[in-house]
Order: sequence, then C-alpha cells, then structure tokens
Amino acid sequence: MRRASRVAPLTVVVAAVIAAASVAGFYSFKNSADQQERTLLESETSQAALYVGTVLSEVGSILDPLASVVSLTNGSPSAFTAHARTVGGGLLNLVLAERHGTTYQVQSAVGTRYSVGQTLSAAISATLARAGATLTPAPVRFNGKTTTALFALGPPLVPSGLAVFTEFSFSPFIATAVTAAKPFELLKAAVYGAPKANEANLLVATVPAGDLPLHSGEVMALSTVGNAKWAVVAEARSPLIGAFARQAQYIILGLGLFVALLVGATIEVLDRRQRYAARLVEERTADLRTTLSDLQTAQEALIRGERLTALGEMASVIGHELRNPLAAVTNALYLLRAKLGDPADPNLEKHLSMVERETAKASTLAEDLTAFVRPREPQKSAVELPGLVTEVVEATPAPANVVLEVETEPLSVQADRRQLAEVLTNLVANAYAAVNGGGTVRVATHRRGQEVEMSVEDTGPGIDADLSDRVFEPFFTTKHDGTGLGLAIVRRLVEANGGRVTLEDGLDDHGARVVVRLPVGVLESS
Amino acid sequence: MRTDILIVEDEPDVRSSLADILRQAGYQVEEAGDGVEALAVLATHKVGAVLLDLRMPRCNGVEVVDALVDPPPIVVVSAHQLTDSDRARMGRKVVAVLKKPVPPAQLLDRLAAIVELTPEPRLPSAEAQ
Ligand SMILES: Nc1ncnc2c1ncn2[C@@H]1O[C@H](COP(=O)(O)OP(=O)(O)OP(=O)(O)O)[C@@H](O)[C@H]1O
Ligand SMILES: [Mg+2]
Repeated sequence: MRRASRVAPLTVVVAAVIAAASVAGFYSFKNSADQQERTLLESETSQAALYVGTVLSEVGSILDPLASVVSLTNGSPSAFTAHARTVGGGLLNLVLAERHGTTYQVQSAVGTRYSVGQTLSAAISATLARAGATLTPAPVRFNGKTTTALFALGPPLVPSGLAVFTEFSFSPFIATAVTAAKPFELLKAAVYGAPKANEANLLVATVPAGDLPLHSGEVMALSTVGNAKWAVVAEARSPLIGAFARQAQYIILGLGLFVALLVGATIEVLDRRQRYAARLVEERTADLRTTLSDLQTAQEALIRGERLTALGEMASVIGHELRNPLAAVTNALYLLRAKLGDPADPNLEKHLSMVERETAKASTLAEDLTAFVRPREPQKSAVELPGLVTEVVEATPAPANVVLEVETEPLSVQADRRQLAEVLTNLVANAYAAVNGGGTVRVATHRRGQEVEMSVEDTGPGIDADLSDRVFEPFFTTKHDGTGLGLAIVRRLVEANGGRVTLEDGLDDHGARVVVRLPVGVLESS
Repeated sequence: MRTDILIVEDEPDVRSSLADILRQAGYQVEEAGDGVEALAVLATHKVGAVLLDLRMPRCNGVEVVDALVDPPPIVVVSAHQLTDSDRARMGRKVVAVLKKPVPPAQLLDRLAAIVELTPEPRLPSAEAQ
C-alpha cells in the first residue's frame, strides 16, 4: 500500500532538527578547533620568528669586532683585511667601504665577491648610508636560485663616511633538509628578508621552491633582525591541535547524523504502529459495515422469503380450488370409461386415455401446490429415525433397476414426525428420479457430534454447483413434469424444525447427496 | 330407513358424479349439500358409512362429526389438509382421510372394506343400464 510506505512528516521534522543541530555542532566545533589551530600556529610562528631574529643577530658578532678594528685603526684597510681573514675564513664576503658622494667604494675586502676600488651599487650604497650602531640588513635578494643577504654596521662604530658589511649567498632551500629541527618540524615556513612576504626577498624556506607559504591561511610574524623587521610566514604541516581534536568535529557530525537517523527511525516505527492501529480500526469498521450489509442482505432475503411464502400460499389456494373440479372430472371420466367399456374405436380410446393421463398430472400438480403452504408450527416429539426411514421407503417404492440401500443408526431427533416424513419422501423421490434407468440410492442416518445427519445420496448425474442454490427455490425444476416445489418444501420444513439442508457430492463422486442435519434428540441404545 | 352411503359434499358436480359411481357399484346412496342436510339424513336413516367433505357453507364437516354421538364410520374426503387439532377433535370416529381428487377405484376399495352391501344388492351392470 502506498500510504504505509510514506515517511511521516513528524519523523522528517525531528530527524531534520537533530541533523541540523549536529551540523551546527560540527561547525561550532570546527570553528573553535580552527581558532585553536590558528592560535597555536601563531605562537609557533612567533617562536620561529624569534628564533630567526636571534640567529641572524649573531651576524652582528662577526661584524662588531671588525667595526672596532676599523675604528681603532681609523679605517686602515690593511688592518681590516688582516682581521677579516681570521674571522671570515675566506667564506664570507667582508667589506670596508667609504662614501664617495652618494655611492660607496670598496676600501678593503675579503671573499670572492668584492675587490678594492669597486664602486658599490645604489641599493647597497643606500643600505650602507643607513647603517649605524645596530646591525642593518639590506633587503634580501632572491634571484630564483640563490638568496643574497647583506648586513652592515656604520658610524658611530666606525669613523664617519665608512661602513663595514658582510654579504653571503646561498640557496634558501638548503633549509628544507634541516627542517626536522625545531621549530620548523611542525611548520612549513619561509623567512623573507623584508617586512613583507615577497618571493624576491626570500631568505630561507623549509619547503621546496614551488610550495612556498605565501598565501592566505598562513600566519605571518615579524622577527627583529638588527634594526629591520623580517617576515616569517608559516603554515602547519599537519594539524597542530592533534588528530582527535581535528576529527572531533567529524565525530560530532557523524554521531549527530546517526542519532538523527535513530530518532527518526524510532518515530517512524511508532508512527507506523499508530497508523497500523488506525488501519486496524478502519478494517474493523469496514468489517462492521460488511456485517451490517450482510444483515441487510439477510433481511432482504427474509423479505424475499416472505414474498415466496405469499406465492406459496397463493399456490396452495389454487391447488385447493383445483381439487373440486378435478374430482368431478375424475369421477366423470370413471363413469365414461365404465359406460364405454373397451371401446372398439381406437381413436376414442386414445383420447380417453389422454384425458385420464392429463387429469392425473393436474391432480399431482394440485397436490404439490397444496403442500407448498406455510408449514404449521412443527409439533415436536422424539422421532425415532430408523422407523421413519422404513415407513417412507415402503410408501415410496423404488423403480425397477434401482438398488435401495438403507443404513440407519438407532437415533432419534426432536422434530415434527410428519414434516420429517415429507422431507424424506421428497428427497427419496428426487433420488429415484435422478438414477432413473438404473443406479443406487442410499438413505442413511448417522450421529455427528451434537447433530444427526440424515442423508439421501444417489448415483445420478448430480447437481451442478451453480444450481446448488436455485434448486431450493420454489418452482425451479429441470424435469418436464416437475413442479419444482420438492426441495423448497424440504428446506422450509427442515429449517422450521431447527435444522439445515446442504448439497454434497454423492455416490461414485458425481451423484447428488442431500444432507439434513438436525440437533440430536434422545439417543437410544440398540 | 336405511342407506349404504351418505355423501356430504357442497359441490353438486362432484357429489352427483360420485353418487353415480357408488350407485353403479351397487350401493344405496343418499346425498347432502351441507352439514345441516347431512345431520337431517343421519337423523332419519341408518347409514352404513359417510363420505364427508370438510369445507362446506352451512355447518362444516368437523362440526358434523362433533354433533354425532355414535356415528357410522366416517371417511373424510377433502381438498384441505387436516390440521392436527381437527384430527384430535374427530378422533376415532374418522376411519380414513382421503385427499381430493380420489381415484374412484381406490375409493371403492376403501369402502368395500368398511361397508357391507345392503341385503338386496343390485348388479353394477343393471344399475348402469
Ligand atoms: N438427487 C438429485 N439429483 C440430481 N438433481 C436433483 C436431485 N434432486 C433435485 N435435483 C434437481 O433439483 C431440481 C428441483 O428439485 P425439486 O425437488 O425442488 O423439484 P422437482 O423434483 O423438479 O419437482 P417436484 O419435486 O416438485 O416434483 C430438480 O428438477 C432437479 O433438477
Ligand atoms: Mg422433487
């Protein structure tokens, strides 16, 4: 049924509310987790920035003694060179420069990059001009392969017009190899030699070139390097707040949806149960209605029965009224026959016997019509069945070629004896007619529980199932000389005596078997 | 006076044809058209047997039977079924109940067993002439 499989609106609403709540929970948890994640990332990044600042400030410790030497020797290039060799070991470019106008010129240099007398670029000159007692980095330059960093010190650490600086180049991705170390183990980080994250200023990165953390969702911190601020940009390699905390939101979502489903299912089950109950009530109501309509049908049948009764009474009256004329005709015929003796004229004889035959038929009809009268109130007494059966079969002799079998138990029923005899007579007459031409008729009485069965069965053609109700209707007959009242009278009399009549399959399973069931009377022992 | 059979029957055709048959069979027959006439005949005649219809205009068959103290054998010949109370009322006075129309041969058989023919019987053939 379509209606039964539809989900109840209540189920949908409740499930939806719970699902919505769990989605809300998911997001709020996710938000707080994100928040927490970000806070953690920020602190990690700041820590990294601090670390970077600290490490780079070490560069100051290289330049500081050189600045002192320059100051003490009043800018002696040879003293600078000698000292720089011992500090830099030839690996670092260490330069003493002097201002000439807006640019600086190399006075002394160790390392491969600079040579004495070289005029420095405008960018470097600008840095040197800014350089003072605190370490001053030039913006870091990254050319796509290598990064170049430059740190300078100027007056008052050195005589005015002079500056010392160190410059070194390296691949910023060297750092990727050592990122297992704190604080970068958790972070994808890049340090830019400028206050803003700009690839041109990349100083060092803990990730390969294509994966630089420069984008949204990253955290930036500034680290102080000398008198400059450099940007440290980072994002987490994996959730910082731990796998469970990260997954808790999904667990919340999953659980929430599961609960929504569960509650939904429960409500649905309850609802279906209720709907089932409602349907049950509906069905019962329908049953009741059916019963009512059955009752109505029964009432109509009763009314129809009344009509039949009226018909029967009319038939009976007609039957009576026919009797006197028939009696007169019968008598007159008798007299005629007596007067004529055996008439010589065969035609006369033919007509006379026809009148006699037809008068006899009319008499039988009148008899039947009379019998079909509303039965009198049955006058019940204990009717001993074997005696009744014997009486009836003796009064109704079997036609030639018909074998009659009688099978009776010593039983009695409370019934009207004459009515019961009429019933049996009609049934036996029908059976004889059915096996006409040869066969067996069996009359039997048996006890079945609280009932007594009186059956008449035969080896005749039987009664078609679709006729099984009609044969009990008055005037229904298939015989050319039948009135169709026999079974109608049988049913009426049996029912008046508190019993019922049914048709069943008879002998050699196609004959007819009419069974009369009556409540058991006094059981007699044989 | 005496007679063999009294026919009590309101229907003239039935009555006269039956009377003819009985006379032809050698009985002396008296006829009555209703219960009152029947009682009159019974008062003046010694009757061998009575053929009695039940439903008649004046004084029906049952009343006739009731009125008789020691009646001759009565054979009821009627178109109507006897009710049980009728049967009880008439009791032993009724020796047979026959349903109309009674085949004449059957009726004669019955009567032969009940009525002795009068001393001067006439041959049926003589009566028939
Ligand atoms: N034992 C039977 N075997 C076969 N058909 C039967 C049997 N008994 C009754 N019938 C069928 O039922 C019909 C009605 O039977 P019912 O006794 O009411 O009337 P009828 O025998 O035809 O006439 P009626 O009994 O009034 O002389 C019969 O005409 C016959 O067709
Ligand atoms: Mg029949």
